[in-house]
Amino acid sequence: MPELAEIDLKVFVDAVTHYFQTSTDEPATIRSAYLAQDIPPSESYIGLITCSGRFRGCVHFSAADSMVRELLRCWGEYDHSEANLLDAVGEIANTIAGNARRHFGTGLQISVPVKLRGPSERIKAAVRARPFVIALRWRDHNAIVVVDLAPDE
Amino acid sequence: MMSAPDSQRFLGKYREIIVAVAFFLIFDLAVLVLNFYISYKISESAVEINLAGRQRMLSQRMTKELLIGLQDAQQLQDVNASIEKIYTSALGFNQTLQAFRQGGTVVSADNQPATLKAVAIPAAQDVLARADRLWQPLFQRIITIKRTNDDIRALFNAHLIGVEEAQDKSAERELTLEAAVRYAQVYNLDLLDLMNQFTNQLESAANQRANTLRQVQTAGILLALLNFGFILFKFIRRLLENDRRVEKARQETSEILGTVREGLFLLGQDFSIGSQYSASLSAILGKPIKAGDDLRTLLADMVSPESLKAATEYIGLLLGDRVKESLVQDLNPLVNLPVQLADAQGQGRQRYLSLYFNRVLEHGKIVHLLVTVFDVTTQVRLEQELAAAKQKAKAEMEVLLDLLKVNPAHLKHYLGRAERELLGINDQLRNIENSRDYRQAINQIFRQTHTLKGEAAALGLGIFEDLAQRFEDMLSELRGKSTVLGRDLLALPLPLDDFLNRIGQVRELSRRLSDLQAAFSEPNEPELVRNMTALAQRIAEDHAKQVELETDLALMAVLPPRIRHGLNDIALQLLRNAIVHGIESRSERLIWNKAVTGTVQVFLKQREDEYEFVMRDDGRGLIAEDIRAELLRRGLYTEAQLREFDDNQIVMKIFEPGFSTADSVGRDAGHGVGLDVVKHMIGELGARLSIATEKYSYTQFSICFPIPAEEATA
Repeated sequence: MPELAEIDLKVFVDAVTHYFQTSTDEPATIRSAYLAQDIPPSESYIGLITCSGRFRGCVHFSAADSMVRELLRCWGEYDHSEANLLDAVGEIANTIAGNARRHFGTGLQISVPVKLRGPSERIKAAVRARPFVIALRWRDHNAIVVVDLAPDE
Repeated sequence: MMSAPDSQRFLGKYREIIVAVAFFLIFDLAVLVLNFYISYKISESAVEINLAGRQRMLSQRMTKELLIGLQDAQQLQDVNASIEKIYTSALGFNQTLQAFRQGGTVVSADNQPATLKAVAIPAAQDVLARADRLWQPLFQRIITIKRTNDDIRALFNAHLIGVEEAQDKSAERELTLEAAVRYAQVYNLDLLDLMNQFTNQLESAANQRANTLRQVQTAGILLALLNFGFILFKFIRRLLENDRRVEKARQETSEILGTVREGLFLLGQDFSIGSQYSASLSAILGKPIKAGDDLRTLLADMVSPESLKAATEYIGLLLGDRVKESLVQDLNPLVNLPVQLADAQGQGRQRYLSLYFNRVLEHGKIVHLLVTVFDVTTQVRLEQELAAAKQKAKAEMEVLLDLLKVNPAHLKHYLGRAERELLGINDQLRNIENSRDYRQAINQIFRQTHTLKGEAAALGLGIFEDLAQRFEDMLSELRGKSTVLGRDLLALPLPLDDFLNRIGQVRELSRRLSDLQAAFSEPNEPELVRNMTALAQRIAEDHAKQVELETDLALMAVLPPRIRHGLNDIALQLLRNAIVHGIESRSERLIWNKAVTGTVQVFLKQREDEYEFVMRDDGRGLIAEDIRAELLRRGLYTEAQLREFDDNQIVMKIFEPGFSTADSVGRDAGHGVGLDVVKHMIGELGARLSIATEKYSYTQFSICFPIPAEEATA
């Protein structure tokens, strides 16, 4: 099976940047992209989807507590309960899943997004030796998209 | 035009109906002919009846005219007219009567000639005969009257007659008239009655014919109706049967077309899709299909203009009859055709389709093409993957060959350095804070990559040189951009990951090569000695014994590999045996006044024309009684059998399968296998074994084998 290509990474990242653009009128920008070593990094709130089929593994978006709160404020939502914070990252993960479904079609089965409070054991079980990390910045906050997908042999 | 088999099939299928229609026509025709015939007969009867009726009238008129004639004669008036009338009536009556009796032509009432046949009814003939008998005397009298009158008129006209003679002639005529009147008066009614009878008989016969006609007509019409009913029944039944067959065939066709996974349809001469096509066609082509759609239009949305042109030309060739189907099959441009189709979510996806065509002929003419469409995406992708895998395997082999050429120390150094550099590059990427850092970072990474490339090239590591080059190309592109954005960095981890993966793979490969080399390396003296020493120490420790190994195996190096490997295995086995079974525990050795540390000597010596491999331990020796007891205990021999062996024979039993004197089964002894394997290997080497032993003192195994001449010693 072919390896992940740049265009595949873009699918996941574009979903997030586009999400911020449409929901806050301020896009998230890519700060950098690198390889994770050992345990993939994660922030306080994680929205995760797992994939099987053409690729297996998971993709997750995670953001620091301050970023998710600011996102809620941006929406006019001042209830910053844990559930609301988790819902916000869950929704971003949902957008990632939707974009991936459109891009990969039926060749890739994508789970319902899972919302997690980081750090999580589920993130540690990486499929790749070095998952791809795309560091994002929105306003002054950092977030990451981790793509840990490997071709299904 | 129907061909002969077709027409036979048609006749066979509709034979019953054709026969029934033929019968229907025959019945109708027969009724018609009969109708004509009987109508003719009835019209003939009508003439006869009319004429018979006229006979009645003539008989009466003649009587009346005779009376008038007689009266005219008696009153001396002109009788010529009366006599002419009488005669004319008599002639008509007689002519008709004779015609009824024997056949002949008469003048009918409308002065037309009418031909009569002799009446075929016997009773009527009888009546006619009787009438004739009554009539003839009267007719003769009338003839006489006519003749007498004619004579008188002739004489008058010639002025040849006198008054007296005229009176006589008139008196004669009057007498003849009187005679005729008398006769007529007597038989007039009888003749009338007979003519009445005759007329009635003719009417009755005519009625009978009319009845017969009605019956025949009724029967004919009934038969025709029955036949019509039969035809209707047969026809309807056949129609219903055909309807059922057609419906069944339609249903089967629908089932086939609904179930078959391939796209199936008939293509007309105008490239239009026929009315029957498989349900899967729409799914395969990724759009709704309807009958009459033009295949060219469908393909135009999916393939390049060049492919469409090639496809149109090819289909055109098949629809024409200038080329043979089998000759152009290999030219089909629609096999493994890449197409852009919409998936269930409406997204454009590349698929691969294969369209195959078969001509459908009718009377030798091409009427349709049967088109089968397969979605071969999975197959094509598998083929592509297979090709990629082959390419990859080839590349791996090239890598392997490259590696073999490189100094291992240099390779190891390069792998370590490259990994450190790449991880350093990764750290730089991770630590980039903002866009101001991008250009500086890219320049730095470019330099590092360039160095890695140079080193790889210097070492002849083509694979790493290529990887570095690809990375460098990507970085060069970024360096050439006026503005570098964060999203431009998105692709950088990909070559980085490839490079690191490749380093890991080469490390793994090197490790495997190293293992392989170890596995294939030849045992030599130092290594054998090392192995034996290690084994001796381990076994001694396991069994709480102390052992010292003395070796002299320098000659091993000159032996051929086959013998060297064999001796290696034998030595290890005998050593294990010597320590486990031969050398005593420290306490036991003290009892026998021996040194606490046991000694095992192993050496290889050359003696004249052979080599001797010896293993000697200063242990308890092979004690025949103990071996004998063990053989009995293990049930390998009976007491009686054991009594027959001498001590030397008993000692040799230790080489038999299943023998062991170990008290318990452990890693080194007690399985009853070991010495029998040694014996087998000695046999394979073509060697000779001898054992020397002394109770409580020593055991020595000597293996002698000839100096090999023909085998290489390398």
